[in-house]
Amino acid sequence: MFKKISRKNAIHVMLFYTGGCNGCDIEVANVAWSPRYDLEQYKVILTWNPREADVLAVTGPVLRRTIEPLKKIYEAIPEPKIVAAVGSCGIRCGIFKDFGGELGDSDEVVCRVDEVIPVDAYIPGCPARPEDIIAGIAAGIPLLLER
Amino acid sequence: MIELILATILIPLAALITGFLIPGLERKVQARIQQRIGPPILTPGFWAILKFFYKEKIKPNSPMPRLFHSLPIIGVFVMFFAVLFTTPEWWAVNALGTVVAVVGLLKVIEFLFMAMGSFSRSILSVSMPYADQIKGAVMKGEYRRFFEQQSVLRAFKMITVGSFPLYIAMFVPVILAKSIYFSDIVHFQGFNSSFIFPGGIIDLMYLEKILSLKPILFTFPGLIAGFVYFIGYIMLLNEYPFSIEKAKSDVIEGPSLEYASWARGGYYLMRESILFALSSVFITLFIGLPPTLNLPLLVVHCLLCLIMPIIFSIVSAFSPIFTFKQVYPVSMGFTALGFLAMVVSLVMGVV
Amino acid sequence: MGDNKRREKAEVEVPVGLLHPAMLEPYRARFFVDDELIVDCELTLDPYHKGIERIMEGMPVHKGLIITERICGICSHIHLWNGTRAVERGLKIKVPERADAIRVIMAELERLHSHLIYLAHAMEVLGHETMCMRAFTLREDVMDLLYIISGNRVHYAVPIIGGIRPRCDIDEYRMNELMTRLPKLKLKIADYANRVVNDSMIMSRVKGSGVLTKEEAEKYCTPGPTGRASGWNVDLRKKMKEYKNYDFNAIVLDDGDNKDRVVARALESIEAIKIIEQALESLPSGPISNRSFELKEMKFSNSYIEAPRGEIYDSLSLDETGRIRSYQNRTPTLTALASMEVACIGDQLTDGMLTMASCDPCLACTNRAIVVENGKERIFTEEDVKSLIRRGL
Repeated sequence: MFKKISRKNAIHVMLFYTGGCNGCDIEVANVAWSPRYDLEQYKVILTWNPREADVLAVTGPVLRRTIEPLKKIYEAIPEPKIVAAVGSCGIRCGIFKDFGGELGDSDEVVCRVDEVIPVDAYIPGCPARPEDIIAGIAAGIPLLLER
Repeated sequence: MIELILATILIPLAALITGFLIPGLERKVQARIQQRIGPPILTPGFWAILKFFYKEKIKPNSPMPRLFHSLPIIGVFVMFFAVLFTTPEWWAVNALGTVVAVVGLLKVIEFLFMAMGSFSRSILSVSMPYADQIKGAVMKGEYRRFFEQQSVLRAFKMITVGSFPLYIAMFVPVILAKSIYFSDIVHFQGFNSSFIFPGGIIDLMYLEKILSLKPILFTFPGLIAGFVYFIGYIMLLNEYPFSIEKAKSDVIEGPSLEYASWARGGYYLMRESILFALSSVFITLFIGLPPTLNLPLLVVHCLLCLIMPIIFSIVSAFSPIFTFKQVYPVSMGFTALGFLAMVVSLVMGVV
Repeated sequence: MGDNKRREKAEVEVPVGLLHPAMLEPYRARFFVDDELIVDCELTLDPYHKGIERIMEGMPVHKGLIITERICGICSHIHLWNGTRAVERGLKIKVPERADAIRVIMAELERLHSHLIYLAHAMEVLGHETMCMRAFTLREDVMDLLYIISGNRVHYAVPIIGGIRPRCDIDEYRMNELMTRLPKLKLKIADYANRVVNDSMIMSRVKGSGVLTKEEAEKYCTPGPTGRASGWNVDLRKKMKEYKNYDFNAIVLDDGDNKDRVVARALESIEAIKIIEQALESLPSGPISNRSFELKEMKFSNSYIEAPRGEIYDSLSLDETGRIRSYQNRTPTLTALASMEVACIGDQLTDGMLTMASCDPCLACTNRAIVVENGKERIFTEEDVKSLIRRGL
């Protein structure tokens, strides 16, 4: 019983950026540091340490240089954990892949986030709006309570 | 005998319970200054610790993992002993109820931060998988240093320079009361053995007894010394503005980067117990009300212990991080102020 | 502080990794320190390289220009405007005056929100959370205005080839909102800047640290407000034909330390509000787009523009069906970070991270791949860099 109550009452979110245009990262920073959207009132605290986190928010398409750090940081987070892919670059690499150019895609954009680590919540938008980010993280919390 | 056992159980329990409230109050006060609603009061202090206890056990990246995990527990016990040495029921048992013993225990705490940092090798630092040392890159420097090790060097400098204000301020009541024993210092301020109710635990005349105290804080050297103690309190806790050892935008979290699951819960508990113990020693030395077995007096003591964290969170909401270029002059300035208080109290004692 | 020469020997290396709270983008910096004092520094900018110039080859030009907007999440409008401007200059399409005025208004609003993010970010790196949150609160007003005009908080997609989109026209309601909110914002920003300058704890950190002298600014070609804070008086807006009707000052300061960079951007935000108010008062009537053109082969056309961080250079060439044959984009943070590598030498490690953040880096725009020619890295000389930054239009 205490397990569920304590997991619901204190949640730590960590942000990792794997490329992308930085719009979604500024919106996540807005959610945490702007008094209008204040994330802390919902008992969610922003942290930068994977050892402390429960939720990993990933933005951006996975590039060649960031695929290894993404795997290592995912492994460093202790169970139970959920992953939220933020923005259309996090879901399907956005406009940087499969956009219909005559000469095909670039080799630097390697793959989507859910081909590297398992994703639980998808938050669409380009960039994802702050209200949607809060709703997306809140939607993933029941999964956290069950693991 | 029975009072000794009851005191050993009840007083650390009161310390724990008050400690659960302190981080939440800090964040709430800072949030209201920043014009937003903050987290609920129990969330950062109590529910977070419980949540960490239910997480998966992880082996930290460290050369000596078991020692690394046991350091916060040592910190919690050291701080509980510091509170117990100021308790009247313990004065009859040993001769360690002195200011010097508490100073020694605080030194152990300062050293613990250095030990934690030396044993930690986080992935966010040198071990981040990136191709740095390739043909054509700059290769200077004999080795590559982790963030935690940089924190340890900074902690060392803070021990040498940043601990003067706290310890000088702690010795001003000693000069005024002419003894290093806690029993003499609180007697000087009006606390006598009738406050400890020998037959029972609840005393309904607590308000008159409290109002009959004559605290050192309300004398001239006591006021200056109290102010200097407050600044030394912030320095020992490594909070803004003196948080260069664990600044978020610099070394991310400093020595505690590799603590996960229950060990991180232990680290949060250690921080809460340091916060409580330092406030409690302040109330004992400067107001004259130690934590005793008398329940209403214990409750008043714990409530008074909540005032200092609130004031310090207001100060730290309005300050940036100081680098050593600024820490050295500020610390020396406050040490000089503490020295002035010592001289005035010596003169008052002679005259 | 002191002279900014790189020294030969260092004691240790402190690498600052791909994930760090001081920068909201992945970058890798290696600081070579001698017990807290920085003696040299190396930055690598390649984590972010996506090959955008390569993706755009072969696309129809209307579709390709949408990608230019997503090069950066903060300065998105100015990239799209520059690309469109290059196409219009090459195909000789005449843009109506009302469309130009509205493009200028959006660019100045974007400059405002970018400078407010910079102030919030600088305060966060200093460790002052309260001032960071105050700046984000001020920024929300500007985001509301951008949302009202264009429908989205970031990536507005206002310019198209020949004018602006019909949904972004400034009508009664939008004019009202702009005219009521802007004067209040001007007072609040001036108040915020005053509070920062009069706070002795913040000033003791930023004054005198991260000094970049005027000779070094000219040598490394530091663009935008960073260069103007060191005394190098170049502002591209004074030479653009779209800005010639408006009266504003170019902010040039003397010392070149972190304080001047912060103050220069705060003053520039106030100038930006002045430009918007002048543009709104003298908004010309008429059509908002000119769609009577046809896409034909265009050999080579380029355009320079002043973004919030400095100047941007775009060049395009089209083939006979209107598809992009090649596209080149060069952003200001490249040289700004190069000058910061030199400016942070001689300071303590914490001040070095502040200096890196104080040039307002937008790493998403910047990434280059390193050119390896015949097995050796090619180093760009001073003449190469100067020839890339021409002062003509």
